[in-house]
Amino acid sequence: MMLFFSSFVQSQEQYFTRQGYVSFYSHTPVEDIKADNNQVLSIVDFSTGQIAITILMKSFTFEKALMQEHFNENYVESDKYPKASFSGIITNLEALQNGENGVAQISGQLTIKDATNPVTIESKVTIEEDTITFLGKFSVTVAAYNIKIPAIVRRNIAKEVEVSFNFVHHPYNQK
Amino acid sequence: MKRLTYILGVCILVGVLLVSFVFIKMYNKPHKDIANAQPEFVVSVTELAEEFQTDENEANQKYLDNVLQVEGELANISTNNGKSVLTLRQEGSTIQVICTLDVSENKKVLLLKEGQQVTVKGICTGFLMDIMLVRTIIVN
Repeated sequence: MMLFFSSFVQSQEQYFTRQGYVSFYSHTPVEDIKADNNQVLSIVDFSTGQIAITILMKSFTFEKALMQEHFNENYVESDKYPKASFSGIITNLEALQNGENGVAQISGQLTIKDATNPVTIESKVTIEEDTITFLGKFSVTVAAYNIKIPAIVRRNIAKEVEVSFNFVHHPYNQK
Repeated sequence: MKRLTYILGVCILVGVLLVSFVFIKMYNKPHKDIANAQPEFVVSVTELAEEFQTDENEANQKYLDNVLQVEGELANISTNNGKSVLTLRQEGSTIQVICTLDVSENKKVLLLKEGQQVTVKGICTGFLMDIMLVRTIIVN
């Protein structure tokens, strides 16, 4: 992560946020579970299209304390794996830089616990004077990240969890 | 015989009620009451920053999931998806403490001004570029 970060240093077009927003939503007929996290670190280099995101698992807050406990202790084991990360690249960067298209195609690797999987994400991009905003959602297959759901609550937790994000990036040199 | 069925029926009913009561109680277990919790650690922004920078793993073990009381200068007040966020800094440290406030604190935030000293209490969730607290309440 730090290495990746330092490779950014030369570029003038880095944008970042310390307070990115990520939430996830699991829907089943039995119950809906939602958690959000507004402490996500995201760095984008708009000259190369590289994106690096780090998420603290413990920063996800749930409505019910019990869900939060199960999430941290049993499913993502946040003591052992405190962070999830994403590193990727915008594949249609040129179109975005020319302002032709407000939708970024991003492909990269998502790491949760000890499992890394390739993901492709579509994100709405809004470029303003000194902010670049990424907004979108994608779905994550729970089983692909070695998250074991016990049989007794299997009907309560969706196999595919919807992840939403909203990152308002500011230029890096301005704090 | 009739009497036995009756007693058995009552027993089962009471059992079911008891189990569902315990289940509902557990399911609705409240979050830790930060406002009335004794902080496990009372630290300054610089102290925290130093510890996380020197050895993140060790600091994680020490602080994560614990209630910290932190004092610092209020560098920034913002909101993020309906929650207020305070950023605390201290001279001599580039690392800040970012506190996502509990929704119950929204009113108190209106009285704060950037630049003043504040003391907050929240649960430490880790370190990225900054140290993160959630469910934070304003102490002073």
